[in-house]
Amino acid sequence: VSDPHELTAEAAAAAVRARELSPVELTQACLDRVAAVEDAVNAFISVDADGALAAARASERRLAAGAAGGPLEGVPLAVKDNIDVRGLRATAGSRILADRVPDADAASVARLRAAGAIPIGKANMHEFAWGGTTINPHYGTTRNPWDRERLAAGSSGGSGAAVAARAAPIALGTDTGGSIRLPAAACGVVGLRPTIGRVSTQGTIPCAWTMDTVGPLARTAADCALLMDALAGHDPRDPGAADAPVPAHRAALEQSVEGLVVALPAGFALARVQPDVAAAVRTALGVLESVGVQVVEVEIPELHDVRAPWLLIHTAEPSAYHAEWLRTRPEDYGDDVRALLEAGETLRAVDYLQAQRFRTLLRARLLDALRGADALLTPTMPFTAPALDAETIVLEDPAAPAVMLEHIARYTAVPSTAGLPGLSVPCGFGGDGLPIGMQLIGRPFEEDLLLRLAHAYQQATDHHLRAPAL
Amino acid sequence: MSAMRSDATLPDDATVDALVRFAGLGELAPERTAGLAEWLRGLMPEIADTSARMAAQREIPPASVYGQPPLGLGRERA
Repeated sequence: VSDPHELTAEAAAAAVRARELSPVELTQACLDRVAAVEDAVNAFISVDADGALAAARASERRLAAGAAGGPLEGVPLAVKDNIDVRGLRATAGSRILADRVPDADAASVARLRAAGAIPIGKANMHEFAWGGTTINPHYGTTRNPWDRERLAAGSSGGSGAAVAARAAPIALGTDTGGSIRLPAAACGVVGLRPTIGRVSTQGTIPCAWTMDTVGPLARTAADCALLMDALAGHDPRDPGAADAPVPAHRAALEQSVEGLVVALPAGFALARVQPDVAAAVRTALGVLESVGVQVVEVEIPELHDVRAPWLLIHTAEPSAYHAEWLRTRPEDYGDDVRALLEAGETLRAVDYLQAQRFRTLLRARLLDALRGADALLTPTMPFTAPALDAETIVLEDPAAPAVMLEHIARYTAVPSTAGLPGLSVPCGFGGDGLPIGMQLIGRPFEEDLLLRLAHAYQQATDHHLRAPAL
Repeated sequence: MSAMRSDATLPDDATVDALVRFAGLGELAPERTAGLAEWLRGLMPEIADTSARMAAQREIPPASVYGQPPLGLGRERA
């Protein structure tokens, strides 16, 4: 097999199980790719070449002894640095936890290992996952593989960049307000925020407890489905985990999407976005129609009101987790994260509770809309990847630039606030050559349906086949 | 802590300063409070608006909070 680091996880695992590709060869190819691109991209906080090769040799021995191999047998995996991998530093992108080495895998990592995946390193991230840029004062900025002067977004920026750069075919990220979907869109890969409670967060350093999720990033919806087959399921060690039936995500992709309904909240989804983003989303809707999906428009007024309650919850909860360190080690935080944590301490309990009540209202409205449609569709970000130093960004009117960080999570905050699944899928490129992502929002625990729509879309398009020049 | 404006939950400068001091943060790094106050002032009107609208919709129940499945999703489907 030539260039094994270019394979999707599904193709790589199939080649490994068929003995056409050694897991050692595959792992070494990805480690070589990390070495080749890391100076340019800075996707990893740490790389575990020795541990990964030892795991690959163990996989090889299992296969030689007659084992059938798992669905992800021998497939290299990048793990965001706020998710525990036994024996590897888990800093959460912070100086505060710079020396923390867990002695056990997080539940998500353990499940992927059981399916055959091989962790090769810990991916860079925004400090403590509290931010959307992956500008990290402690471990350096992760750069976008498509243009190194652009952000990879975040907070799972290293995970998105590693997959886009072909350093790892699959990655784990966490998503509170958009931290999987934003880097997926900025880097041109697929990223899934599961329904809250679908994937165990045990062994993961929290950001905002009531919105935190763990999920996959990969180049294809099919690979994300393979990962969800391994990741999804109840975990009694996670008090937020849901005990709901788990569908066969990969198998579901073989079903037709004909007759499924996708709803566009046009007044929200296509307002105040860059023209290239609006055009890509409209074109994508046409592609979905061409494969038999019915596209309708809906109006959901509450979508325009998400920012304040989402940001209030997203600000208050991390401050509770960090309260002690904020007083004993304030100098060890980056300036942006420290300011946000301080701000969270000043928010009123009454406003927090009203924001939680807004979530109930928003979720009811979205579920109403999802009774008449199988998914809602929006852009993932209103713009393509911003410049590394961008404070403002042009949306529609060059004479009236917007504050970038006030808009970056406008769409991803919706399923985060409602506890629903959200999937970002590459849907084209802007005139600047940067990827554009669209977001599908679904009913609780119906990630398989979102992946099915994305898979049908990817079968009809080739955006996901393009690779950045590195 | 008594300087809350009567027309909204929008705090004035003195209240923000008091909140920061109350949280024990201003004493750690007083130079940071200016940026913090600016951020809060930008967000507070929206938060106040949301709170006012939610307060007027008393029929909406409180959401579940951490300690049980978030938003009750797990319990609904279990």
